[in-house]
Amino acid sequence: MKIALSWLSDFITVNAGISTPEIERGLIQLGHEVEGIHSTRPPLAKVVVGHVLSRVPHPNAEKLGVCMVDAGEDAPRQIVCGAPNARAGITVAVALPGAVLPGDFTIKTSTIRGTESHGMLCSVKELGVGDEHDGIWEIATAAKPGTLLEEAGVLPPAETVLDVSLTPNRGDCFSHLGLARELAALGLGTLTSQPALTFSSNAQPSAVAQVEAAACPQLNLLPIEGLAANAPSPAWVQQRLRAVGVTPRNAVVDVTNYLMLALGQPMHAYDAAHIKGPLTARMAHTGENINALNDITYTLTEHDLVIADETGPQGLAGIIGGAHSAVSETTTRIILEAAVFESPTISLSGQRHAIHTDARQRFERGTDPAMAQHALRMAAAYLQEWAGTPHTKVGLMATAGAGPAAPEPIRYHPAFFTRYIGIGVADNHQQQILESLGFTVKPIMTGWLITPPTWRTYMATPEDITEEVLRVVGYETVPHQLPTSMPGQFAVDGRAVELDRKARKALAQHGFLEAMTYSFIGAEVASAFNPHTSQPLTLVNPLAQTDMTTMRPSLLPGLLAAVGKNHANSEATAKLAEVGKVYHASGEQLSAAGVIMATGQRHWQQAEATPDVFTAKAAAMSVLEALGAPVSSGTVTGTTPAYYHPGRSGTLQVGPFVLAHFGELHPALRAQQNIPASAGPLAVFEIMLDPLLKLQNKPKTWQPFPYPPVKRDVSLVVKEGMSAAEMMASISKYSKNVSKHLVLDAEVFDVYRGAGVPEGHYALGIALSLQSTEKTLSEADIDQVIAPLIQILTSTPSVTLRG
Amino acid sequence: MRSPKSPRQGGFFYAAIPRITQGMSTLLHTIQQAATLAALEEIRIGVLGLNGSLTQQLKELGKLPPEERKARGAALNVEKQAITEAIQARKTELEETALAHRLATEKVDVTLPAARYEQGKIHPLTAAMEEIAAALRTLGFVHAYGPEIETDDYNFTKLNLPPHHPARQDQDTFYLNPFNTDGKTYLLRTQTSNVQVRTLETHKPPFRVMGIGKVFRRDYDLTHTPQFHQVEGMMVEPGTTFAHMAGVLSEFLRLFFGQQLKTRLRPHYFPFTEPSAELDMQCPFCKTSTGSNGGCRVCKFSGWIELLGCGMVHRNVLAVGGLTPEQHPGFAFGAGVERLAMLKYGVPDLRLFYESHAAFLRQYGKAPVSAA
Repeated sequence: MKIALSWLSDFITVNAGISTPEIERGLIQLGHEVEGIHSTRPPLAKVVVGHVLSRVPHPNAEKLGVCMVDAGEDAPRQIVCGAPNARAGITVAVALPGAVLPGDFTIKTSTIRGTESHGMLCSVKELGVGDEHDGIWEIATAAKPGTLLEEAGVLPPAETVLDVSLTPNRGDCFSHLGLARELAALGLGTLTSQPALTFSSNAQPSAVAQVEAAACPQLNLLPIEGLAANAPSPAWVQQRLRAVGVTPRNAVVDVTNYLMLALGQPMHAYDAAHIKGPLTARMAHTGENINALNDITYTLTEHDLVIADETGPQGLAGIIGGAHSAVSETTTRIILEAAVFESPTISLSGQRHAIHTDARQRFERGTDPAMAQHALRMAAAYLQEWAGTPHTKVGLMATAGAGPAAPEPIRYHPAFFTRYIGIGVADNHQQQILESLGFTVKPIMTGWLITPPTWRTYMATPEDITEEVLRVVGYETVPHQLPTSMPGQFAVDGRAVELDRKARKALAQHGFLEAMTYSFIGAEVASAFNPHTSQPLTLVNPLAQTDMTTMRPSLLPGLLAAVGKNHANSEATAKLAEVGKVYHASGEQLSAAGVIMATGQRHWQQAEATPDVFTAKAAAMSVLEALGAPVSSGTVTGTTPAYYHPGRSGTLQVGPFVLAHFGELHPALRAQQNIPASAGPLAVFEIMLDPLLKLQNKPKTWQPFPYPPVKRDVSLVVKEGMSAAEMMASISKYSKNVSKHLVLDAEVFDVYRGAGVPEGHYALGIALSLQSTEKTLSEADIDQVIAPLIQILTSTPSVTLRG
Repeated sequence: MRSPKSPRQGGFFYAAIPRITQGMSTLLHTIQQAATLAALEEIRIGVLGLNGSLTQQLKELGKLPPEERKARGAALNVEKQAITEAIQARKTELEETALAHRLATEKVDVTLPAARYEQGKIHPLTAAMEEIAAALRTLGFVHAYGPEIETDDYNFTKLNLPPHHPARQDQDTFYLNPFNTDGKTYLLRTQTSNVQVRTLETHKPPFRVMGIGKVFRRDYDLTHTPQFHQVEGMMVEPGTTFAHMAGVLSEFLRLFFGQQLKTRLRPHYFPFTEPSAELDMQCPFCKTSTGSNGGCRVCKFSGWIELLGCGMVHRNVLAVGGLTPEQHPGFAFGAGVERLAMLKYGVPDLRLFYESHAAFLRQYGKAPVSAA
């Protein structure tokens, strides 16, 4: 909301010594953010009144003239000017060299086509005081040449304009009157009594108002006829409108805008020639159309409130008028409307049709119901003055509707203020503040019964009252106190958040750079990286970017896009990871993912390992272990979502939970993700974090081993197709059945295919470790354990002991 | 009479006893001149070894008449001791030389690069969230949780924002197409305030909770990303006042920024708090706190930085948990994590957080040890 200070002074006489900065501070203290203060035009220095003494054509340019101008100096100035109206005898504005005109345009002595020019004759537009730019400004002043233009009495006064950002609860402040009331309550000035405007009402013309919807508590119409067609509003009105950013049109349109900005009451003017029968506030019929002033046709619903005549809707109530009955250049008969509308109806209607107007903005925040009729009378009085003719006649005001509800009183106790805010404000001081804001305070047995003024919508609770008192006292008077109490017992479970943060740190500890990518991705990539059978979730109203339409079902696409982008920038991203939500129909799940690439950085001492499925497996397992997952009790299978390389990927499952997928990316998807072959091999993994909240890693009781372990290597020849896990499972099963005083561990240390191993087989080296709690094991003891194990392992024809 | 010869040349007994071994001085000289440890060992074996010349003589002592045996034995032992000492001395010398030589040849160019440990970094926003949580934890706040996909009810209506509320338009909301059959309107949460509602519904006061996480708004330009992070805090305890809110917030900021900066509260409006306020903090870059000293670009020459929204929890929100401001007053606040991170770490552009530039992540990311 733009507020012109001179306009504000129509409503408040500010105290002596109160200048713009105090007003700004006052507004901020009251909760009205001042986003900017500017002047409608900067002061014009070095621009003086001048008389054109002569004009001769420019010797080298047809359209230019060379003027001799008396600018109050010893000798006339020579100024080259291209304006068609530049001629001897006129009084003009002369910008002398060094003058700075709006737009940071500095005037200098120059040579134009070989002729020196010592200044510029200015148009209205060049001086920033109007839009006229067809020629230079011929000014009417008695001031002598050389007088500063600012002192010649021809410039409109520079207007100081405050741009105030209003909160949605303060519909009452969307006007100069509203903010004047606020400043007066703060004690910066006194509200002025408004001049009584008079006009005579006549039986004719007449208008009929009808209300058929509860959403319109009051519909007021005032018919006026015999107005001058398309009369302009007075210059001072136009200046004020321009100052706050509204373009003047004609008296009828201007008066509705002017009074809305002055008093906060939106109004509408119908061309009475195009209205048939009564104007009725009613709900629209579903499918009914209205062609609005913005030239858009809206199809309405039964939830839209309209003002309609016999032929149909003439306006979407409180939002926008219809084109059919809009005032035009020929309008002389009008019906003015000022109504009270229920804000929810206006708000939802505006949302539904996405129409943003000044009227909607005010109605949906709530207008002062007591202002509607007053504003209509003001409008009639102004119009008589601005566009009146001897035939102008103002009719009787027509009013319909149940009438606005009276403000609900609020029960309040002044002692509540101290308890709630933490500072004391004397009862009588609170009362004085509330009364200065227009509230009435009535003492009752249990405290006060406070009735808000009609213009204060959103006033309902005792807490609302504390805010009113506090903002006038000043928020800055509240001391900063720390609570002395201990907070009490918390049953709030923060493990989900803590797990999220731990996962990020665990990945970083494993060398990953943590990235954050957007939670929405493109539809195509989402469907390619969807590990579920259900469709990915999509947005109703995504941003225009086509790669932000669908909620990610996996973190990998975002990371791969980041990898691709960094690769294109020749930025090495050896290990990139993200922790965040993935989304699908059953909900959102906390997930972690990583991409591992070769760094491409060569080292004089070491060759770099090539990332593969085992690099990814190692990372996933180690991160999971760091997060306390019982990884060793899990099983690994080769079944993975379709975006993994089918032969080079795996899944870790613990109990009923899938904890991780790892492996190489499916070659086709890698190409789709624009990761070129030049980026080298790439391994990826995903970790499902939510199950970790349900899984517990039960630590075994620690047992000291006083005797050293003995190691034995076993080498087997295994038929292809049989996995290492099957051997290990047999060993694990066997080890559970050996003596409880013995611990048998096994680990694969070698896998070999080639010479010496039959075709279709591979050699598997397993390191066994035996340890006793009772003694140092002898050779015989060891053989006693290992011989039966080898028998078990080789009991199938697929496995033989390697010779 | 004593010989002035040093012990190395045979010891002080040497002169007192008649020489037996012919060429003793030559032998000692040879020992001193032995070029290698191997050569020295060869000499030792030749003289003192199992079949060494001196060992032989000692073996032959028994053949001598007893009266000669004693004197000759003593003399031989003196010589043996002298030879042993000479060999040991030369051995030490040779070993020292060998070590010196080895050390000289083992020198490497330590300026060559070592293979690097891959240093991982947490994202600067993660670091900020952890530092925020650490500051709030000090003040007694614990993590509470709210989902990112939320119903209209939890994101708006239960926060005293009914469908027609004009403040809804301030938060351009992403809505989700229906994906289940429960008939609810699902959206991406526009604020972490859903944590307030969820805590109130499921827990009994007193509590101090924080909700730190991702939120979404349909806004994408120089100063907005469609996804960002917020921190939400709520304290509900009997006796809580607006003054406590002022105290807790300025203490939170002091802990987070690691310095005492001035704060000011201004009235504002939020549907879920009453009274409501916005908190401005003295600009940490120019530290003027008034526009008069000029300010800087970061604070737009005002000296103040608009940092967070706060207020006393609204009666209608408390009612979700069956509470009233009379019995269980409380305050709540919310701030943008990106803004706090930009101010604390000097990140110049909001959008950088989401662009995954490796160089950015390396520079502004934090080692996982440094985060609280």
